[in-house]
Amino acid sequence: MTPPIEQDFPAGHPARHDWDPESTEAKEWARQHVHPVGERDFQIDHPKAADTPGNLNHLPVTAGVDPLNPHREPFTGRSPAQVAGLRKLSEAASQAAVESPVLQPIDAEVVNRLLSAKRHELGRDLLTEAEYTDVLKAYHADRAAGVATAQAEFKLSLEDQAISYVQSRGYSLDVATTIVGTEGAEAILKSAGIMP
Amino acid sequence: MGRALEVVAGFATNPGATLTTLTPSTGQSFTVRGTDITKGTWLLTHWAFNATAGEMRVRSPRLHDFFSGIRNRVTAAFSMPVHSAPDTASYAQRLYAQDQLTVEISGGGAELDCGALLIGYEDLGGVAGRFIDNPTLQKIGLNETTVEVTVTAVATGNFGGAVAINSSIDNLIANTDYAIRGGLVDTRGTAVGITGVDFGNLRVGFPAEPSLRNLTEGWFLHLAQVFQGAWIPVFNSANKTQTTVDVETNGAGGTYVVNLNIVQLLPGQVPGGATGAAVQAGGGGAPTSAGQPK
Repeated sequence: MTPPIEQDFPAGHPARHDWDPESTEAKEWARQHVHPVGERDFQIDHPKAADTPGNLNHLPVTAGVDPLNPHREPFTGRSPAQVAGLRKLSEAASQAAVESPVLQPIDAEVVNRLLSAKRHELGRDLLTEAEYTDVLKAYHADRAAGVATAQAEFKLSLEDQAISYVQSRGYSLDVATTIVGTEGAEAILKSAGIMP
Repeated sequence: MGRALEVVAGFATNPGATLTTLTPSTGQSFTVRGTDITKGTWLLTHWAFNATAGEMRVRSPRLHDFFSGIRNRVTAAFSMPVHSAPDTASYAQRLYAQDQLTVEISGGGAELDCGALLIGYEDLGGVAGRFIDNPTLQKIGLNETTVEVTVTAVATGNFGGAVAINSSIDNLIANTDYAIRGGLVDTRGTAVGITGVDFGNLRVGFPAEPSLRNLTEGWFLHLAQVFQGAWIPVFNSANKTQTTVDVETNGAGGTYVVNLNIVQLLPGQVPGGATGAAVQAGGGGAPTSAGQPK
């Protein structure tokens, strides 16, 4: 087998013995290797070089958008026709959709305990909608009763309100108590416009 | 401790250049709930979803000032926090019990523009939601899984289309605690909401932004990390039919595929959970140790 002929320099290289500056090879070599304005970022004909015909450097690269198919929907790649069709379907679905129910805040710990008791009672984990509703109804009823009791417990008596009012006029607790005892709580509150 | 987290969203109809007060979604309010004033209540973050660029403003006489408050530019079609995004570092605004926040937005002249606030309560009486912090998740997390639901949002600017968390794929192990790391959406909207018994029936949520997957996929994890607290919601699969996912968006409505990234937890580690009667805790075959790479 004849060994391949190894050349010392490629065609058009100035160091070759047959170099002709006017030859096509020499001109091509010079085009590729001589850069009169300085060092290049990419070699000649590199797809990213600014002077390579057909380079894509001008295309914006945006998140979700195929630079070669910018008409397609970002992130999904759907065609405009598909997008329009889906929008129509989605609009119809949104018209038919219902707003979420408004829920009253609950104490998760208490309700979970009540739900747990219900589960134990029924012997299964998953409760039906009605069973959930029953538990929540009982929770809200208990809570409302508790709140009403607490309100009643913490409600200031007429006498307390009158003493508080007199104190707010600058009298000490002892003096305010004496004044309320003498004048009567109701009369003081009426004169202050607190009670009709 | 009665910890709670609530996303409150609202909308303005055709605000144009006028800073218009947001109408809160049905059943919600921009008034801070009544809390123990010795415990912190925080505006953890807020965001907007405009079809046309505008401004979002949150103010109250009790915050820095009632003149301009926290005011930010809202870029069009991008549901991204404008204040205090929980990525690597963040700063929450302190709120005050029963303070009526004024939340305004400007934007397009022929559209619904929407905004959402995420409010964290360190102790909200009568709620006691179930939340854990990152070290706890690292310690008791077992397996990661995903629940996927399809939500059809309403076009009125309110939260809508609520579906149970197991409505599309019912792969949860019975009577097991799961932490919600965050989630992903395929369609842009204002907010994804998750409501359930375990969160005290308040709605926890994250921005419905499909292009910020690195932020939303671990949204609650990020919140817990940057605010150094227990802000990762935990629910029990026994409550799956009562744990719902919904979406708030603008007048375009839309169909949303929502993926929630959840982590199965060791049984009995998070207080306040369900203890079912019929099924063994943790699904019967759960390992007893957990952890993350050291």
